[in-house]
Amino acid sequence: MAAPVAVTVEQAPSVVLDDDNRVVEVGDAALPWFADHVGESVFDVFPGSEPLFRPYYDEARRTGRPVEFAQYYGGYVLTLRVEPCAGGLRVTWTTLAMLDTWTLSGLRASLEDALARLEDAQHAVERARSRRTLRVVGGAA
Amino acid sequence: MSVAGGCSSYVLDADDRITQVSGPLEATLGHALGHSIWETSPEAERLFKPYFEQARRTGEEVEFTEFYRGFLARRRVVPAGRSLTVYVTPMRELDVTTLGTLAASLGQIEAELAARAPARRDRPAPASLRALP
Repeated sequence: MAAPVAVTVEQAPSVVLDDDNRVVEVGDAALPWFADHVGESVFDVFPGSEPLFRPYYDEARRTGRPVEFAQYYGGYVLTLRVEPCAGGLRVTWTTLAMLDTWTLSGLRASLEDALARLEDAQHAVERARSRRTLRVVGGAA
Repeated sequence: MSVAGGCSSYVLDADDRITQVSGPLEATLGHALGHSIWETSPEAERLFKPYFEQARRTGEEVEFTEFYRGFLARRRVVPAGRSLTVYVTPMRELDVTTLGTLAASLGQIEAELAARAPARRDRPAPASLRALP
């Protein structure tokens, strides 16, 4: 009999936030960041993040639909998907770029790259949003 | 070599091996006692080694300010024969929280470095990076 093969499935990190933006569920891949913060407001865990993220969370709650966006925070460029779920909002993210803060030359190069990726990701999100809007308009016509 | 917190110092032998560490740097350099500092901080060699060599060559103290590993810090290198004691005083931390804080703190760090331009080993950021929000 063949030996069992260990398979690792890479999942995007995700957390579930309650209506007060407290962390109530942490996916395995998000444990390094959130394991010690269950029950805390995500905005307390990441100071300065509220104005960058909350509008999208509010939009998902208000519309009941998933919201996707790209954002820079804490040295990372991320794309995020926020979707209403049982218990609150599920936030899933992918890291597109990370700053290299070891040297100024590394910082410069990684910042140029991070800004370019952020811009590309924001454009991609906007294009997807526009396509969805056009489909809705087209379907209603 | 993180310089979070207060002042630190470390001692290097003639081959740049770490023989003593004190202060906050113990957390990041303590495990490297007996090893070359360039093994644990390879990116620092280009930035720091010229000053270390100058101190050994002249037998006189050398002071320089460089950005490394998220911090701007002043380093005073005191030679004793071929050994060096390096005193590290953190001056400013790069704040990467948002693009706004990043631009502001990077601007402050670059201004500090520009004020010490004759001693710099790294070129300033291009103008485009100063255009961050």
